[in-house]
Amino acid sequence: MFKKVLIANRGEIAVRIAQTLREMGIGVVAVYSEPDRAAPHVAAADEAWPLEGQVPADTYLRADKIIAIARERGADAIHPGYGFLAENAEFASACRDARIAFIGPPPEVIRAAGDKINARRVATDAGVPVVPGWTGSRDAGRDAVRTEAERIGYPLLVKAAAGGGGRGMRRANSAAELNAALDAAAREARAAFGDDRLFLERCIERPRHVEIQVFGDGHGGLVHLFERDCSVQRRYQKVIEETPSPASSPDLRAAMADAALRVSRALRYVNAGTVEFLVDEGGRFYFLEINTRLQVEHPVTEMTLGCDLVRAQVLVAAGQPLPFAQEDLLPRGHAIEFRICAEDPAADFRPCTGVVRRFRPPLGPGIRVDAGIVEGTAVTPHYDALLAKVIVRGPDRPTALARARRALDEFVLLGVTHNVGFLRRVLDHPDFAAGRVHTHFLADNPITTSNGYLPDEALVIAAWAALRRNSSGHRNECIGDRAPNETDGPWDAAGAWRTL
Amino acid sequence: MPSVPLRPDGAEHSIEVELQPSGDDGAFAARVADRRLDVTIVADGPDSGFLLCDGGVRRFFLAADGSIIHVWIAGRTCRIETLAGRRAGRSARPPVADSGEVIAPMPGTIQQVFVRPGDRVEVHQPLLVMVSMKMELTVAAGRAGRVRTVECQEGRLVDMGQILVRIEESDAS
Repeated sequence: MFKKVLIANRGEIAVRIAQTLREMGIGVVAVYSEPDRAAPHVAAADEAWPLEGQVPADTYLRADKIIAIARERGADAIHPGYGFLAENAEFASACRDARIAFIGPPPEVIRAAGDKINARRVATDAGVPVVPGWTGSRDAGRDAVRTEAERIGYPLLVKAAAGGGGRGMRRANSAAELNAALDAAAREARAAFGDDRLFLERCIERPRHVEIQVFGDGHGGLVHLFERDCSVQRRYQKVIEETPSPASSPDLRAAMADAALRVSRALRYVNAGTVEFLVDEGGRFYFLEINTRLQVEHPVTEMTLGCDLVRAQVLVAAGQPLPFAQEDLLPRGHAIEFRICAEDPAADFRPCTGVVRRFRPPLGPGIRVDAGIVEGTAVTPHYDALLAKVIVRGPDRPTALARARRALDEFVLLGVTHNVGFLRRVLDHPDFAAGRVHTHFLADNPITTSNGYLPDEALVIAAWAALRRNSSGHRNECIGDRAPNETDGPWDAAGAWRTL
Repeated sequence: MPSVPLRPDGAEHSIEVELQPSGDDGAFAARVADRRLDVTIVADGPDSGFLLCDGGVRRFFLAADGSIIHVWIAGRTCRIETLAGRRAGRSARPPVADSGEVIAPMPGTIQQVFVRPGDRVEVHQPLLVMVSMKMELTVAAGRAGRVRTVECQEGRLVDMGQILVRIEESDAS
């Protein structure tokens, strides 16, 4: 087994990976950019080494710097987390060359799955339904593309072979919009991925996004870990994920799991992966893509199966067989994850920065919080807006929903504007409560984003804080800077803290 | 009677809140607009405590950021602006767009600037693209006119509220 593992990531996922490594008795090496000097993932490690620079391109995306640190510090393996270098085949390959285990699939698998045109072909050859479309040829002229587009039918999506997360993707509602969509998608794909190969897919209206977690060990072991429903999205970014899918019948679940295993087997899949499908309104499913990494939403699977996916990733990367057989995997109950992001729902979800002044995650039965922040953490514009994830589990969906309401109501996060109130209102939407959602649910059903009616109590507390500050003669910029022994008459109110 | 005008985030009008100490144990007679309530505030730290009102006990946390007070109470996170304590130049609201000063609506990196000094621009015309937390945002002109200065550079970081472009009346040049 590995003695030391370097985590090539930051934020909540780096903290979460460190937790498992610590439980396994493996040393944890963190790397950090300059703004992350005092970040929680640094504190979660046994040792931490700087990546000089601020932006991802100079830090967490620098394969050379990260591999050099791993070698110098004697790390046996690197866990890439998600994002950054997680699906970079060259990085996985460079790790192999440096005799450092990459905790993820081999570079050949990452490459084969990352090319969406290739992945579509693999799925088709494995007898798995794909969205009707055309993968074309490199030198096809615009006339040929137009003919194929007519055959597929409008509206359709122009997608980049190297794409992901909605980048390099454009919708064409009619033949008149096709050229502009092709040009825009090619431009974006070239800029983002250096690869402007495109393909066409019919637009499935109001689909559900359902994915199957798979796991292979390279010794012939290959299992699925059931589905996650990630239909609540905003601009192709998942917002809420749950398992089981409220829309899955036992037959549909079995058929999708079988399809996911067939694609994985064809790819000789090793380590953790996710096969994504779209499910249309008629209950037909179509292969979408394969993600060759640990997903953000992996905790819902862990909550219902009682397993640790990171632990399994580490074991498999160390050459061991899977720690579970298919028949051991029996999901129990219902789990839902909410992504807590630094964004302002009242201002079109604009990213927000600031310093976390107060952070009290919810506690109690059936609640898990994976967080990349503590009080004092500076949220900077350099990285993803995901601050934390709240995951709840209950014996059934209604119980899990009730638990989710409590968890979000008890979630205290001050200093950075966030989406907790918005998520709480999504929970109250009758369509969400009934499990009747699709990927355009948030776009079609504007959830009120304003605070609306404010409780009088909140205004009383704000007035108390303002008057107390005024009475202290503007000595301090922030209330939080006050020394606890300063007294200001009645505005101090009663309380034990004066004597602390 | 100590009172303070407050503006809940997103509200157009402010609300006057009065708070009169009615004892030395944290009891207050409060008035919120035309509603009266008797409350007791028991602090258990500089920025947290309990609000007792009408038999109910509510946990609260607060964090002040300039003129903005963030309050969490009973499951609600609220952003409230105190208008009395506001200092010049520290308004939490960005300047109105049509002043000709185009400001950064969020902190981030300038990805692309489409205009140069001297260019004529129409209202809503895209001026630049910025990126923050992997999200792209196009910043557009709030008014028509002529670009006087461009005060940002591609690839550079800017703070929220920083002036990016100044637009003047076309006939002023």
